[in-house]
Amino acid sequence: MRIVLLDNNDSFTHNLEHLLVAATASVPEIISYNSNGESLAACPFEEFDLIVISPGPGHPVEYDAYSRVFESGKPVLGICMGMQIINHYFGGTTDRLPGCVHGKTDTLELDGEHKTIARYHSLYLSGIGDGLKVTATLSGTSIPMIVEHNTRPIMGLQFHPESFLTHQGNWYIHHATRFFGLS
Amino acid sequence: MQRVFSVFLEAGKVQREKLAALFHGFATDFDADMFLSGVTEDDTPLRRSANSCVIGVDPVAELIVEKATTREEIKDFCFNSGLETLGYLSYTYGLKERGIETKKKNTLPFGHFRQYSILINVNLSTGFLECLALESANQRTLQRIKNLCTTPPQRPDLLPKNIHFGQPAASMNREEYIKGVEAVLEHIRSGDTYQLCLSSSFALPVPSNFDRDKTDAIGLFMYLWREFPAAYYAWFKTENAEILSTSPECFLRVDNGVITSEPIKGTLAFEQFSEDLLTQLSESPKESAELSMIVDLIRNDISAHCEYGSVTVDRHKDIFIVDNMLQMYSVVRGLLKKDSTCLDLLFDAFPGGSITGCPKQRSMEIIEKLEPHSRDLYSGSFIHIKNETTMNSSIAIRTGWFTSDDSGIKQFRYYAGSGLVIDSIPELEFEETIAKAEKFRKVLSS
Repeated sequence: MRIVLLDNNDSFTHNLEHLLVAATASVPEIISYNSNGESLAACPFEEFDLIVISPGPGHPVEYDAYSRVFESGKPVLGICMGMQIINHYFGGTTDRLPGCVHGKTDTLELDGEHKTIARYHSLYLSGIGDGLKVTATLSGTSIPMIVEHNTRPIMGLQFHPESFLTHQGNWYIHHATRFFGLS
Repeated sequence: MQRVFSVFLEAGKVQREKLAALFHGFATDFDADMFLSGVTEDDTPLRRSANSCVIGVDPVAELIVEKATTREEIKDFCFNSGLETLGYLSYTYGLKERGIETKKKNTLPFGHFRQYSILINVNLSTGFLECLALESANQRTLQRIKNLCTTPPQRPDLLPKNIHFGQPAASMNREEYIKGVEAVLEHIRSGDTYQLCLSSSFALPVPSNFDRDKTDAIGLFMYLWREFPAAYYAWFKTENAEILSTSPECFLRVDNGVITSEPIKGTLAFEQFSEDLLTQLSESPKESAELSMIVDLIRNDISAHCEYGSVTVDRHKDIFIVDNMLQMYSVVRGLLKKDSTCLDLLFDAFPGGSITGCPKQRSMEIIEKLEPHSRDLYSGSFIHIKNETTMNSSIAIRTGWFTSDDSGIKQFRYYAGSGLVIDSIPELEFEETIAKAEKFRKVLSS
């Protein structure tokens, strides 16, 4: 599997790289967004099987070079800011989360199962984009933790599977690749 | 290098005074640079010992890092001669490497490295001292060093007498620091950063009779080493400055390719120790989150040069004591990737995440705007490089330096900072920086 990992100048990107290798046995190519996303314009997305969008600081409106990623039609997995970028592309909204959380574990509810995950987010999906649906929320709340596109191979995770605080981070990569029909 | 002689000094805590006198002699008689660990099992029962000291005498080569100096030049200097290297890289060097512009004035070079014709290693636990030298080393110097080691000097009075320092001037007073904390909290709410380390700088005017005979600054350093044991003491001279680093924090240690980092986050100052304090610290959600974030950041920073699947976290939220403070830490390990050197690892991970914040790039941009002072060397690193796969490095906190300005007046500059997260209470964070700065102020103003 050929994977490209788009790095939004984040400090967890190499954790995500190592997680992707552990989960898929493929070494991703890393492309940095840098200051303006210029490097994304030159990336041959059609050559990859999976595009992963990293976490990152700020608000999704700051990252305006992502259209080509979604126009490629390739499977896209977005983590944290990556998920907010997906939501933003499909017309959703992102706002400040009252009582924001960083570096703490919490419980996610997925198909009736409870899982321990690491949270690092100041912002959250306050409005869900067209064609996206929430498939997992933070336990006991309506805060979206996983979104999937209804018809396209696109998934976003608000939490951090690459954190050492998340139990069985590999599982979420497999969850995504199963959804994309890649495994 | 060849071993010239070795001796067994008496080991253990009772010998600290004699060792302080010996090291004092290395600096005053031989102008040595010294990286001194000062921790044995006796000092910190809560933490395993870090016990090796390395002392360099008679430099044969040096590299002063400037704006134009490349990574390759630093690597060539450190790896090509086969000699061990001691030196530092400043936080300002890290700003330059990450493309963050600064107009603030620095007093020290970006970095400074030296190699020596004579190297002395001391293991504090065993008391074993060995002296290594190049064939070309000065034989008279070697004999004098041997004499010093075999008949250690009378214990000198380390602290200068009749010298009175005034009060330090902080770059941010209480009100300004608290305002800075509030600005950071606003950045956290906006998602620009999850954690950020905000520092203050302190300038202390030095009395004119200080260090007249060139023994007061080193005396102060050895006094601190003797009285306040910590794992990463360094005494190093650079252009017009004498640097005293009394850091307890390991940045990156690489031993034959095995990487260890020990990020420290979570602090609890105390007057009287009790077991309850340990639980109070380790069960604090705020302090735990601070440490967890930095552990994820360090995992990331070493992963760039680690074999896949080799990065692990041990002893998460372990605690040790230094300077009447409990400090929480974790151990992050990994295996250096084939084809990467320890300096590749260091450059890409620099400066250490525990003193920037997370994500690193944007946190450093915010720090640059909010801190009125240059960090200079503070929160950079002291580094001891043996070869491509073995080095040790500290985070240069609890660090200060004596400098002279154009009018010849000496100044002592030191720093202290605190990690800010969403649950931070501005007043308490200010108190924490003051507690960390006390080490120097108390000794100098006593």
